[in-house]
Amino acid sequence: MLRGPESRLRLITMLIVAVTLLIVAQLVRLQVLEHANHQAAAQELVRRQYSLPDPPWGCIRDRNGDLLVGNAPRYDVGAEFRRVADPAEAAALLAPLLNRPVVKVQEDLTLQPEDEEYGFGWHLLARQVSPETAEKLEELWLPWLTLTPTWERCYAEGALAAHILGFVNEDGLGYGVQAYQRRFLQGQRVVRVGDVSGDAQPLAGEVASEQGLPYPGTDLRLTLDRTIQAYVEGELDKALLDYDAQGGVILVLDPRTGEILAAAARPSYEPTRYADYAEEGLEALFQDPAISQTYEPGSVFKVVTVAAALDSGRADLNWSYQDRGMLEYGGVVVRNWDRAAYGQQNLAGLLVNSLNVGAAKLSTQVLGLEQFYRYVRAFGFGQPTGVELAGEAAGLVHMPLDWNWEDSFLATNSFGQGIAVTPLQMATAVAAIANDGVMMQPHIVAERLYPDGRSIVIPPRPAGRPITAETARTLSELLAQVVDEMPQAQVPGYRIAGKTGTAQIPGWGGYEQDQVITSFVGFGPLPDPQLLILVKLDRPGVPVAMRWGTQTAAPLFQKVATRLFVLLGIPPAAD
Amino acid sequence: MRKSPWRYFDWKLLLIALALTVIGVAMIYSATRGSEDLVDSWRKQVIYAAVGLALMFLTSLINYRLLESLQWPLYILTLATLGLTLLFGESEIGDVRRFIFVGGISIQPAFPALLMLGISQASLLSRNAPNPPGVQEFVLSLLTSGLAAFLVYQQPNLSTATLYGAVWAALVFTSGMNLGYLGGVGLGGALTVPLLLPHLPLYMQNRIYNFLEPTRDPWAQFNLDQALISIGSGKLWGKGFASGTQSQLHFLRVRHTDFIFSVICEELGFVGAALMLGLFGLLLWRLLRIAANAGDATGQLIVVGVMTYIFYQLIVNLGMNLSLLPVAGLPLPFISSGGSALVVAYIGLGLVQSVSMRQKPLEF
Repeated sequence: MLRGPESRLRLITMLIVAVTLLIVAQLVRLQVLEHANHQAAAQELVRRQYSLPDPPWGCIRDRNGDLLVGNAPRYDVGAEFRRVADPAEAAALLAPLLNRPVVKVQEDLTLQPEDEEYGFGWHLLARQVSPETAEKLEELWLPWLTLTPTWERCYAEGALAAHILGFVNEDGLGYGVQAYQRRFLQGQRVVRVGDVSGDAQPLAGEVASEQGLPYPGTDLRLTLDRTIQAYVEGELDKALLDYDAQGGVILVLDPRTGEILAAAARPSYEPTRYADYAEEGLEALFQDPAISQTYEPGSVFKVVTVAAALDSGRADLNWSYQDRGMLEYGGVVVRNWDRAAYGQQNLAGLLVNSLNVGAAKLSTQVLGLEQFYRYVRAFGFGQPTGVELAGEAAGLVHMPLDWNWEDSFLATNSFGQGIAVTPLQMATAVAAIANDGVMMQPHIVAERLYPDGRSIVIPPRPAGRPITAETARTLSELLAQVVDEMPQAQVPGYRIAGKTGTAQIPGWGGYEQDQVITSFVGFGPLPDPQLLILVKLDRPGVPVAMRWGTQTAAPLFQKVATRLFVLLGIPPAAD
Repeated sequence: MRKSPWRYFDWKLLLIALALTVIGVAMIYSATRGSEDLVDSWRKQVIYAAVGLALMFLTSLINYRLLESLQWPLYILTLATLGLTLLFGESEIGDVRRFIFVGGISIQPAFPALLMLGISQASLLSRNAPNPPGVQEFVLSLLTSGLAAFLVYQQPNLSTATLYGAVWAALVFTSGMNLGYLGGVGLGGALTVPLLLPHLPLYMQNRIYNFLEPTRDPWAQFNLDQALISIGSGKLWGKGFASGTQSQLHFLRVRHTDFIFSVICEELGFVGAALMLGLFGLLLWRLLRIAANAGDATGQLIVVGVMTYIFYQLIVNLGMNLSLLPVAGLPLPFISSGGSALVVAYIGLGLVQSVSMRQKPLEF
């Protein structure tokens, strides 16, 4: 048995045939008996959720249509690392192109314990590489390398108006107008269920057959003027050096509309590099000093006190009081800035000499709790202005029913102490006086331009009428008299109304020694003010005797106002 | 009257091989038409088939008995080829010395080397003909084949090494060797496998463990599942040529080479796959016929060697596609995209034709 080659050959043949029959049996099982399962699986594979490439965010332009924020095409680079045969070699190849350490790239190309646990097969290698780099990566012909098209926000003017423009991070959180208007700016990503290929790309017919391609974001035109913004930021930087100040704000508003023409704030940051700042723990820089940080306004706030006295009818231009240099109320003694007694004074004298005693007299004896705080609220203090910027602070106004109320607040608040406001709140309130008593809501977005060509102009919106037009005009005249007596803030040919403030800085257990915030709020030209400028300087380092609004903030106001009247083409009054 | 040497040339065998090649070219076209870097694969396959065809005719003209006398030079050439591959071989994947690149064409020398080894072994095992080989021949062939297979294993390439083992076993078995020897080696091998397993390169171990326990590595299992889905969803009649969703939409990887059978099953259905198997059945029938009519034992063994070479690859490849066997990178003969495999298969047929043309005369 099994001696001759022929019979053995027959045995081999039988073996081959038997195995082939086994294969045929498996084929019958898969293709005939169980085909339903496999057919369903094949259909399920093809029909899947997919997303089309993200559309770009809307562009941001200034009021004249000049680009402030745009988009540049970028690629996110990833790797199906389980298919990488030699991570060390691949990492050495990729690291210089991705601008990352070889060790880190190699780590991303290697299976990590958590991948094992969750069954991950893909790692992100680098975000937002340039198209040139992507091209070089493509030329490497690495089948496991993925390049996903995406966009990078590009700031055409670098760090200009950084706080206003802000940014939005990968989690959709951020600052400035971009965070506040994200729902308009961000395009509509398309995610739907349809036929896709094995590379998770939707089939050509699939994309074309459905309506509703990714919808790009809406463009925004801001009220900001690029030229004014650049000029004002330059002046602020110079002032910070001149006065050795640690920070500052310059706000330029049109009091008639509430439009913010420029908003400079220091310290600032570069929005493109926000991730670097966050990594260094410098997130505090993202906070806009003009809207997110509060300060005690000091004497500028006397404007509100006098407005309340005039508007309530409790005092008029004939009202006067005897200034004894001090006033005791609620357990505190109020003194004037120079601790002097000024004798017989009216409202004009109160403002010109910036008398704390007079302001406290008005709030405590003339107005009273109810009247005073009614006007404080009516001018918008203690509540956000509603400007289209993320992270606006409400400020802090103690009210008589608050748990931590102290009787002395009525006296100290009258000259801006013990009350916290944002620079924008202060500017908005004074702008109401410039605008015949109508307080316009400050706003930064002038127009929304939809990708389909529609556009919506955002109209100016009155936020309230805290005082009558008559009161406003009277008060404007009083504030003009203040500037008449203050050569540091005057602009030849233009009648300016304004008020300085010098406030101490509250710290733990009292006020900081010798550290102040000086400010000036002014508007002009009277009788028809078109411009309101708020200047604020934090902790000027000039000699202590010079640390007053009149010596620091007022000259800066003068410089900015002089230039802006020309830039905006506002003609001087004919003498 | 001098008889034409082409009288016993087996044209049917050639036709069957050409039919399989045509199926291969068509399916390669279908499997690669969507991929930029592979669209030319089917054209290349046609060129390789032409080269293979030419070499087949050339080989068939060589008298295999001449080759028989070159038994030891052929064996030394085999070792030299495999040794050079180990020294200068390359591969796209890591530290593997499997391919030799000649003018931009990659050649896997283990396949032509196996043909040479087969001839050498055939003449060794038939030197006592018509008596069966004895223990001396058995030991000699075990050692010489074993050394060659070990060199292949060192590349590392386990599946091709097992192909060497299969060809050797078929030759020894057919030669009429005492079954006790073969059985002993088989038993010994079966016993040492569990001992050797932990010493195999990691990727080989993984493939074997993944086969035994499919949930072990979902990523490795992915393409095997895709293959099963491709095959199953093809049903009886298939989805139509170039219309398989699994292959056309790139769910199935390496679909033009190792997994081309899954594409055939998906697009041509059970009927198409069965027809393809039928063609292989005809091929087997022709080979057996030539083996039976071979002029001497050497010729018969050469045919058996080529037959084993083709059908072992077929079975291992189909077994992998159908998840009946572990993953092994052996191509589907005559069909998978790949130049050197196709050319070597045709050279193998050339050897078979050489035997056929010199068969013992049946007529007078």
